[in-house]
Amino acid sequence: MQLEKSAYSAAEKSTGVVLNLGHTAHGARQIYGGVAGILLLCLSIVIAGCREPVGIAQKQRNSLSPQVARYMTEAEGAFSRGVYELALAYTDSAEAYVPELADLHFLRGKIYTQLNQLQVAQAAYQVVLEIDPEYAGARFDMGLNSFRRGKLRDAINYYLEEELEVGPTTALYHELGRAYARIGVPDSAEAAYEQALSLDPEHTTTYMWLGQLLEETGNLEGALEASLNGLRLRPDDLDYQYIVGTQYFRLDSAEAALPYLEPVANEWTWHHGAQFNLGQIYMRLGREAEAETYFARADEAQQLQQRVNEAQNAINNDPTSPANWIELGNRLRESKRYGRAIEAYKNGLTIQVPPGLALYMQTNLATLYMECGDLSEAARRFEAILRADPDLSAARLNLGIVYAQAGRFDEARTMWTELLEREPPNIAAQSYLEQLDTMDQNEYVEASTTDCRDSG
Amino acid sequence: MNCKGMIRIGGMVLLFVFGACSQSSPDPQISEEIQQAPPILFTDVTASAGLGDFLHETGAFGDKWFPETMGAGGGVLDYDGDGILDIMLISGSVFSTQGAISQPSIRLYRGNEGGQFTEVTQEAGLQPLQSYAFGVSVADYDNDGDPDVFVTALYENLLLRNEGGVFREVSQEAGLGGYSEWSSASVFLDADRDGFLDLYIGNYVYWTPEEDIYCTRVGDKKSYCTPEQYEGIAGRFYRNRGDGTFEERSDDFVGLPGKTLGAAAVDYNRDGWPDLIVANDTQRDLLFENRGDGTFVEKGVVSGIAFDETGRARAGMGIDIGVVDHTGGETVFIGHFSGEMVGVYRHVGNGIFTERAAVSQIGRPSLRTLTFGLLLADFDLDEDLDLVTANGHITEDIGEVEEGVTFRQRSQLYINEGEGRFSEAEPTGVLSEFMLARGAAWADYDQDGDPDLLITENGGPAHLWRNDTSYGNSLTVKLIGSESNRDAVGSLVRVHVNGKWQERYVRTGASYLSQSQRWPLFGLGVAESVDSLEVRWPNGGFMSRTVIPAGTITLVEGS
Repeated sequence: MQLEKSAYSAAEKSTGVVLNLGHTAHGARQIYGGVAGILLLCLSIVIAGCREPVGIAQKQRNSLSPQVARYMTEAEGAFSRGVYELALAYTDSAEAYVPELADLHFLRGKIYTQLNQLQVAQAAYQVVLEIDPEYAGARFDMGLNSFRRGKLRDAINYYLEEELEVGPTTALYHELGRAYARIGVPDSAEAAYEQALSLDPEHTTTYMWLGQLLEETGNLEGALEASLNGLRLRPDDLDYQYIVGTQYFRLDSAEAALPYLEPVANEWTWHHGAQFNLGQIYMRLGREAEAETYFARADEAQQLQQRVNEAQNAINNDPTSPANWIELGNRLRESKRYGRAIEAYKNGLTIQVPPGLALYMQTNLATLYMECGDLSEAARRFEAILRADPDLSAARLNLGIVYAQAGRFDEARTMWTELLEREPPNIAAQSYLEQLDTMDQNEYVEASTTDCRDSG
Repeated sequence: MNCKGMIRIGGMVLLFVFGACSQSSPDPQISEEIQQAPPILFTDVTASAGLGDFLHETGAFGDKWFPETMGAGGGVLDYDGDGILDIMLISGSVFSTQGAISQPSIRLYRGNEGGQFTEVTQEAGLQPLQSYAFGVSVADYDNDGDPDVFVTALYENLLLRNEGGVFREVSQEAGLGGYSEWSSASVFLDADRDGFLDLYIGNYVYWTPEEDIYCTRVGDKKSYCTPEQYEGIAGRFYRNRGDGTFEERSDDFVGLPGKTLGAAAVDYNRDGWPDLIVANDTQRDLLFENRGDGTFVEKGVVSGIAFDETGRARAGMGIDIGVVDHTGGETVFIGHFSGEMVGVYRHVGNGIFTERAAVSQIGRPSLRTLTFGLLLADFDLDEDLDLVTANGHITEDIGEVEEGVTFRQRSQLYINEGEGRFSEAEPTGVLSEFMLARGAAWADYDQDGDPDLLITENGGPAHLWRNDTSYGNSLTVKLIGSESNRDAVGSLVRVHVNGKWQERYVRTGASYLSQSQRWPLFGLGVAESVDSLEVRWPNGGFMSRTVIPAGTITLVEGS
């Protein structure tokens, strides 16, 4: 369907926040799964970005009207912001003008992949190939989706077809390696990884997966060498530090493992593997008191993970329940994995829910951005929420906090003052205002804005 | 004395003749070749041995109740004391809501000369017993000279006291009754070394028909739930009073994870006191270290066996423990779900275990199997322990979501290449058969000096695989305790042959719901005797012998 302007207020469009107030442009489009494919999806975006589609698709792009080009730009922007309903609506609008536009079907494939509607995504990619059999990335993405569905042979076939029709890429060989590894053909997997690295000797992810493969086959020295190659290219990556640390540990080099695992365990308290392995290392080093500390943290992290798993299982059983997505978001937030929590809430918001629940989810989402330090995004979301419902006290209170954290004291004062006018007994607002009056604003150090991605 | 008539090297068969079961010294070169590549051959003798009519009953009626997928086990014992091993099989049941049971829940087959079995369920008093049973462990808990049996079940467990070849269910009067829990693994061990075997009972999850949870993989089609959906039950421990009764001493187990499916005793730190390792399904595994007084302290996390390498709890099933390399450290093997490697944890000293699944070369080949039964035995008699895994999935359409993983699966034999590195045997013969394996036990049922295999299936037949490897000699050591418990459970037996030591720990239970032959069987390669033999009895006494010829030796404590 085409984008219905009435569905989205001007304010929502300007902030990029879509408040699902009981109306969805695509009510039938719902989520069927978790967020596990985010990394894969990101990878496929990179692919498309790295390589210009050629042939029919390129010709179509060159002849697009400004109107359709704008729809596509808006759709891609909405997609990159995670506003999937809006992105779909824009693709529908573009389709009304150019139904055979390969790019829109390709983007649709990506959106449905993100929404875990993999079969719908596959159908969209199939349309792309019918329009342009040489469309770069379509078969690759179909391979990624097949991999996610456990159809490993299909994935391998798609990758090989992509190689034949479009040509090889690093990411293609990388994913081919992963599929071979998963299906139990380690030699082919290793060869594919090597091909990926021959195309791009700095492809860090391939080094890490090669290391994983070699570790599984018992070649620990080779695994460590590969992983160290990856870590040298991205020395600050905590995931990589964790892998290198554990591989040193497997090689009975507890002391060598220590400097790699300590930062991971301390930075990612939710990472039970890091806590557990660090505890193990301390045990081997005879530092039992420290070991106990990290074992206790591992236990706590394990329990948090268990709750996350239970929430994920509930989604697997019923992905159409907003409550299940809220629960997953809450559990991830509890374990301080804000990036994944945000994704869970975003996915939940694509489901048609009553207005009150949508506002609750939006408020939680904005709060998540606030908690993980993305103050600009948090402010944008709280502002949009208050435009939708000015009586929402929690949003007004939190928006004041966000403003204050960002050093926007006047705006913070306005928020809390307005809240007190609306709710005279609001103790929290009163307290914040008093703090604002007494603090030395000259010495205030503005909280740095961070992004909310997490990993591991 | 055990002697084999032929050696098979590759496709060539060498015949040689034993003079009164003796032989001249083997050609060292040939011996070397054999040691490098001894083929292991199993022959399915289920039907010819008289077990062909056995069929396990799951009670499944379409509602996909969780317990249907989990049973059942079986094991070996010499219930009539004739020196020939008999076989007990758990034949399952139907749920109480689904009418009457169609067959005995436990079936017993008496072993005869020549490797044949005759069903004696009725004569042994087992016919009337009705139970949704799962597993067995066998031990002479009352020290009266005959093996008794403990049967774990969905509801009340059964203690079957052997009274002259007839079993009587005595769980209530022995102090083991009074509650109804889903129990799985059970282990007899003399925790306080008082000469009487105590009992550990591993429990699984809280489940009743009324509280059955609806789980689905696809649409509105109900599927079997995974254990995450259910609350686990902690294990129980019972001290044997020595008068035929037990008292519960579960304090050391309360509050710890349940969902237990495997358990095995071991003296991992060699302090002479039996410890206990428990494999849990989606919960951390547990190591109960004996404090030296029959009580335990749990050390799974600090020892490194609680989780996998990433700190995650895996789906632990069957378990076995043995020394598989020259280090002398015990290695713990635990079967896991598909997508998870078989756990291989070697004790490296000071109470620390190191995970070696990948290095041992067992890890990758085990990724596509769901391993329930798991056991160690020297199948090729080449002086080191090999590993067998009995596999089968619980989800009929698993292939649709995990490519390469099948519902019915092959059992796997991992041959120890020395130093704890294994290679998977070619999937030929019986190893090419796909089944829903659950229990696995080894025993030299035909007394030809090599370990044979008993595999049980969920909702299917049992399989008796005769070992026809045709190589090497062996020594079976039968122990009779006097000061210690009569079965000598908890003894550590070591033999020195061909310049190296082998050792076995006498235990009950282990694997998955199964009881293997308790008497240690050592492969000697082409050696005709062991240079020396040592026994550390459960109460701490020590015995040694020198130059023991291959075959079977019976040792009585204190003699």
